[in-house]
Amino acid sequence: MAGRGSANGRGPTVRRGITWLCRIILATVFLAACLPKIAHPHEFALAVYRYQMLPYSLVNLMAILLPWLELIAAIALLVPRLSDGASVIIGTLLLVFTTAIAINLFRGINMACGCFSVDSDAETIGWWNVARNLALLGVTWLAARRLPPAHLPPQGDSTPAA
Amino acid sequence: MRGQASALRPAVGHALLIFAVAVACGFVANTVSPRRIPWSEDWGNYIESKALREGVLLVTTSRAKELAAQHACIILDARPAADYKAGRIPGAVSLPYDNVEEELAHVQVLLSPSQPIMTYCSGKQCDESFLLTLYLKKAGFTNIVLYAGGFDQWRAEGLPTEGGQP
Repeated sequence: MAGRGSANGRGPTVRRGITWLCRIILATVFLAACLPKIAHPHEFALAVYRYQMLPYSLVNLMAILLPWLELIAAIALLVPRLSDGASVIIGTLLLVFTTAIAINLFRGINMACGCFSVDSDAETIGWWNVARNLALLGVTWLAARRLPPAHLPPQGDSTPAA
Repeated sequence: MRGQASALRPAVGHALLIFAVAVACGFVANTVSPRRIPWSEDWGNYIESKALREGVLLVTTSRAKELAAQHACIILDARPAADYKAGRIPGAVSLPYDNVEEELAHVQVLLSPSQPIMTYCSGKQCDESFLLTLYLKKAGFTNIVLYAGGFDQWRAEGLPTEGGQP
């Protein structure tokens, strides 16, 4: 019984550690992604234009707002009360990005990703971008898990009903 | 099921809050930033307006047709090689912008600094021909025109094309 109690104590701790590690990884990735876009909005607008996914009238609006969405969501991931919402945002962004890249790969359009660099000479999109984003989606799912407050005892330590 | 629904509601609420804060930050940043961009831009005419700003001469489809028929210039196709192989303006030579440094070495034998050149890519939505034109100008080629309508417009007007490797 004592052994089972100890195993039950370790499980939630490991789960908490994995969830937080995933949140930190995602926050780092999205912070790295958004900063060049915020610093160079015209170049990012050009990258959005090259994707040929949006009506031209919305290209600049997307270029202005998307990087800030990445930034605020990345920060919110590290705030326990907001991490669930941040995971929804980041998961949605990853789905959108992955779909856009895949569509352009099928179209045969050869272009820079615009993911972490706004340089038009940056590495062009490939299926590895899709694979990377799908992996990040998995990380997002792990980061989205709700955690009980740290002060509550882990499940299984309470005295079973008679 | 009810537990999942009750967990989703606050998550969606928090997501909307994050979205609202991000939109507010974006609006403020683009209002005060020295690097702000217009809220909306005429991307439909992006190539033409950029070309005019850079002093690149543009040609219409009818002028491009004349140049091709008279063999009056070297026609450079800036699209990826696969697109070139699938179909091109007759007489065009492939010089994909995505690999220009390597490909230019193969094509350079055809070119001289004052050689008339016309560049094109797929159409107004691609800027590879514009970027290629700028690259060639920096490399010392002085007599370049850009056919912004590109292969899509050429084909749309029913003009002859050739396909497969020359």
